[in-house]
Amino acid sequence: MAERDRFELDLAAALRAYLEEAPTEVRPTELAGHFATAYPHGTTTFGPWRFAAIPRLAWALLLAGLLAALVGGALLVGSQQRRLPAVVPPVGQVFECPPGSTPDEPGPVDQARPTDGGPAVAFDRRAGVLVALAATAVEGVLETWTFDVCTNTWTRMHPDGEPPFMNQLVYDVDSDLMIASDGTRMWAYDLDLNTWTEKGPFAPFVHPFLASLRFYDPVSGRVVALAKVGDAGTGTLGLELWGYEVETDAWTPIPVATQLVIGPHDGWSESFAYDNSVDRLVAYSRTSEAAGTWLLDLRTGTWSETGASRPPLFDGGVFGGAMAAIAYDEAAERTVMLGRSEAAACNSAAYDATTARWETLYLAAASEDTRPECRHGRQMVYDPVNARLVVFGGYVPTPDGIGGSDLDDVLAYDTRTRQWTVLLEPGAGRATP
Amino acid sequence: MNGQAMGSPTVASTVALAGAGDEAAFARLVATYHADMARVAFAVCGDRDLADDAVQAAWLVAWRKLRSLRDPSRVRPWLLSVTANEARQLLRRRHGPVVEIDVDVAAERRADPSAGIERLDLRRALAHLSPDDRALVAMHYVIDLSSDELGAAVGTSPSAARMRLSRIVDRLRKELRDG
Repeated sequence: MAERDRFELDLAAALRAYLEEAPTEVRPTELAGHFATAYPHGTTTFGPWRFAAIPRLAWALLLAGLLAALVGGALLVGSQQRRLPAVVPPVGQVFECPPGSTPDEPGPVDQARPTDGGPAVAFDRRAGVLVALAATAVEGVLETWTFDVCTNTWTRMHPDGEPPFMNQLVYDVDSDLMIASDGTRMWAYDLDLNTWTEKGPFAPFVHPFLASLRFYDPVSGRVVALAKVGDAGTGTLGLELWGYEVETDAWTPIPVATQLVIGPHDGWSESFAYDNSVDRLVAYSRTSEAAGTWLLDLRTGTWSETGASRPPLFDGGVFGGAMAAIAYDEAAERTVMLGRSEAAACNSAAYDATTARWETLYLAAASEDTRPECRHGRQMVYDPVNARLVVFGGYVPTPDGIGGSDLDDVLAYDTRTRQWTVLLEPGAGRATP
Repeated sequence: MNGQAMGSPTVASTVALAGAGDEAAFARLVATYHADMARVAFAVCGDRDLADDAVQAAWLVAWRKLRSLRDPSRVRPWLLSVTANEARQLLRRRHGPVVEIDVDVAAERRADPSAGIERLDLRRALAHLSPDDRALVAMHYVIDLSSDELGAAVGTSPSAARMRLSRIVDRLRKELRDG
């Protein structure tokens, strides 16, 4: 770091004096003892050294399988062209609303709903409901809710044995199960039986930075977890991917042949969504100066730069608080992002991977701070029943960025018409968008 | 004790032991890093109780996930990053402003007369930064993280961390010197 000038020296002195108020007292032995008692470590440990424990035959079979998948993927998809072929893998049957349903009519505003403005959410295509795993005021206690997109009503499910911590939810189409992880263990939720089942350990990431469940891969039938290798200093973005098969409770590495070279990548933020119209993982990367869009071919593990013109600039926030929401819109066959931009305005924009084009859908003023584009921490998923995106909650930061107001409304976004529909107004005491 | 007081070999073995559930090793980490984590949490929250909750939550995350930390030398920035995250989440869940300028103005003006920046002005300026930026400022100017550590803490390259910090300082300079 450069030598500090007079102002910085004064700032450092003032900060040190101010932070003397911090609650630094602690009893280390008591704290460690409490954790050891309340949260005992499991006997299972996993890490890179575990690879050595895998029998040679398993390695050979794994490599043979990967080679076959690589060759098969190359034959199926072919080399990437300027205009990618539309390959729509099977995505399972989709629920249809009963006759007489009014999915565009707001649900009863006085209904019970999750109090957490930013739960983990995923859409159960067969049941036609959004499943939410929401935090409560009690540490380590989560609630399972469903939101019926035909009646726009929340239902608290009250299953036994809910996961104690959440990370992300992904719907496993093949298995018709919701897959969740707390970053340590795996969990599966059967909506029909209303039962959570604890499974085995989370993926044995070698580089676990920001590791979490991301999407369902309809080609392999696995839920994919992803972590950034975190080598931003060299101008590259590495990804580590693992596929999870709930039936066998087993993880399989997904090889990435090359690392993505972003250029002057200073690691602001990246967002990912699986685009099933081209069978590629779309990566949006934001640096301090620009943004870019890349595609990862999951079958060959190779990246390609899209050369997309004028990607929107979404603010990532250092710790991800202002991260843009991202979801693939199957009806529009585009990846949609919405969030705050650096200029304090808010965008929604859509990326068409077949034409490598971004389109701005809406550019909101900062004063429209309760619009979904401007909120922090809102959740967005695709609703295949009504062929549109659903956005839940989030919070509106105060102008000075300290604290904010949680929202618990539900909105639908048809990106083809650029129309928002209120599915559920905010509950009592909440801000009105 | 602070994070610099533990040598690299000691850090590596302590982190490994703590990640495996060794209470004594975990307690050593707590003794070493708790104060720095509390300062970062307080910088983010501006509230002692919230900061205390945030650090407790961060230690629980550490207890559960320490074994996933590949590079033990990064334990300090990692812990501080977890702390900033927990503090920001607690802020988010708390409705309304948290850093309230409800201090006794006269007393604040009297405090620390030798300092070039008065505490009340500092609190006001910090309140205008985002929680993430407050964490960055504390990590650099109070915890004295190096560029590498700062980059590791915020998930960016060292140069990107410096650039962001430079922008924040420019803003503070304008507000505290020119404003």
